[in-house]
Amino acid sequence: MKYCKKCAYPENHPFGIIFDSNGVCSGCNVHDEKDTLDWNERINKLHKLLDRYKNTSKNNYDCIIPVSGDKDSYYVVDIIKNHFNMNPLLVSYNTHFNTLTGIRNLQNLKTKFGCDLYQQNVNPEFAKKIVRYSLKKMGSIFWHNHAGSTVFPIHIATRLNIPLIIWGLHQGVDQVGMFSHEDEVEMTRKYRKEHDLMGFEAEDLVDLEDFPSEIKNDMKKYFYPTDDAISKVALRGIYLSNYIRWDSKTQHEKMIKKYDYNTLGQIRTFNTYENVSNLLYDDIHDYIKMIKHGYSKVTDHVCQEIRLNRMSREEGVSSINYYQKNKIRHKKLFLEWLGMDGSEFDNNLDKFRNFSEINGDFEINGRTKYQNEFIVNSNEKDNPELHSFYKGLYL
Amino acid sequence: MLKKRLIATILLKNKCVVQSISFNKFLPIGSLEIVLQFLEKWDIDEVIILDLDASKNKRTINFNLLKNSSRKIFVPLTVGGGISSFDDAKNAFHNGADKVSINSSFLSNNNFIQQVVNDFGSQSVILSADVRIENNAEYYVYANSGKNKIISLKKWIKQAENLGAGELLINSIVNDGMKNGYDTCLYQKITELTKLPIIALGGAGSVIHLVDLFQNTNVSAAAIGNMLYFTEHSTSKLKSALVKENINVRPSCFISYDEWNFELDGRIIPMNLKSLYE
Repeated sequence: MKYCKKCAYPENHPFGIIFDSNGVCSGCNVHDEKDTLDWNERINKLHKLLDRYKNTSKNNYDCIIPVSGDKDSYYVVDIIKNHFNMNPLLVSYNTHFNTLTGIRNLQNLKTKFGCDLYQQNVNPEFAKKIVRYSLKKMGSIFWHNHAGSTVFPIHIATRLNIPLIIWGLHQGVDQVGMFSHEDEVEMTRKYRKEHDLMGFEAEDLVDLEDFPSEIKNDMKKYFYPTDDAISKVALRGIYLSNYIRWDSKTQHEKMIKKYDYNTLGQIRTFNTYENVSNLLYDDIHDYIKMIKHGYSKVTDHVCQEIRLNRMSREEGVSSINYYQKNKIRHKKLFLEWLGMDGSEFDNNLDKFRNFSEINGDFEINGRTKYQNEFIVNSNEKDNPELHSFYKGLYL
Repeated sequence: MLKKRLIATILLKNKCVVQSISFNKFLPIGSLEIVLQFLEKWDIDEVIILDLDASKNKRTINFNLLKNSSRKIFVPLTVGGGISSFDDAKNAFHNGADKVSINSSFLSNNNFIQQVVNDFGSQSVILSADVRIENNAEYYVYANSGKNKIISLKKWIKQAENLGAGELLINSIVNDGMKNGYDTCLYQKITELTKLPIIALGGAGSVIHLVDLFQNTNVSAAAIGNMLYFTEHSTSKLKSALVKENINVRPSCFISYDEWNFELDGRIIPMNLKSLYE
């Protein structure tokens, strides 16, 4: 396996990645723009853009901000509502498997910022069936999470005539340099299908022979609004990371101080800020990423830190080696909920397995000092009985 | 009058569709199959797929990839990159291509081109050239991604006509991926030199560049690359914007932005913001 000489991404990154003649990846090359672009000019550009979307009649929201409660939710709302004085509607898709910290962060978000919040909740029994299917079909337990979070804001936008959706970070730009910041790439259904949904839209799935017929009608909520509906509103989705010099760690630390954002200790990564709302993210989801692609979320976090010059590549590699072999804890709880036994689960995943659990290419040097750089301020206990999908409760 | 065509140029590095910036920087976009699906939905008139490393590595484009990606696609498809024999061209046609685009090979070995023209018709052959101006005076054709000067453009066009090419794809090396507009001088000159339809490539970054090209030259088509990937319904929006400027393009059939105005960079200008549930 070939790795980038500068960060730690492998050549098999599922988005696609291009190495230049020096062995440096397209992600690092685009990241270098962060030090060369005039970010004042870019934020002015954003200012002008947002001004055009201010609804002076005051009879509608100015824009939609899709939120989960963690990742960049707080930062985006802070910038849009408090810095640019926009009137956003927050839209959220409930992914289930919430941590208590995640539930609290989302409620704290709407309270502290004083925003309306729409949340879509799907029938938990249906969720169970679609998780079971996507596990077999794509080796993914999060297909419906991605499908719901990326389509519900679009449905609300087209239904309520809100022509602008504001996302935080563009993952393709951030991880592999899919676009230059100056391309100002916008949200497309194409990106959603290929990268968020692994090539399978709900519209494709329901036509497949092995798709369970009893949930076909329930899948319509994941269908994308028609092209017509989108062009009628002239809907655009923009990414703040094209206009603001993105630094996830620093942004989160501001949010912790200003708005009491809660963070949570993680097992498989040192980054306690980004993915704290879903119990299975730092767990089965990450384990699946590891056996499919040979790397896990900690590599994404390490690459971020290396590129921002806060971590050396050696430190990064030893962090990766330490965290990506940590054992997951919630498999039993998850399988009980799903109604699947361990061997069936393993057999399903083996169809998608390309790597063994520990990637042997790196040398293991043990734990690094780096984990102490990230604050943990939530005292949520690792106790299954406290979790939100225990004993028939699906919060 | 014939309608002006918008042609998408899809660049491949191995199996990955890429953005190209000045022939030396490449950014990964994703899979060919999905790019084709969406461009077709967004009403592009034609597509040209070019494999950037094929000639250099003395191979053809991956025909299996082509076949699998174009299976459900009906938009006219041109394929280029490493097509250097009659069999290569035949293989391309058998795996989904409607036309082939032939570049560096044509200069050294051209017998097979006539054979392709004889067997499949001149409409199936696009000859392409990478062009750069020398001393602000004359245009030359270059090989190997702009490294080696080969022949003057004038002579090259004569050769292309003699071989029976159906169309010429002319790429301006200095404008490639720069998003600063087409080299309109170049295309004015070419259309004076030949009656063959000209496809202009290199420099498209916004609506005004296309307006400029179509208003000031007689090219029959504009090839656009990187800017296709930046927005939802990119090509449908582009067509609506061009129609507003009285450019004679085939309007988008299913997706219409005729009611909207556009920024210079082709992004929507919001207006008449509607109220909730209106």
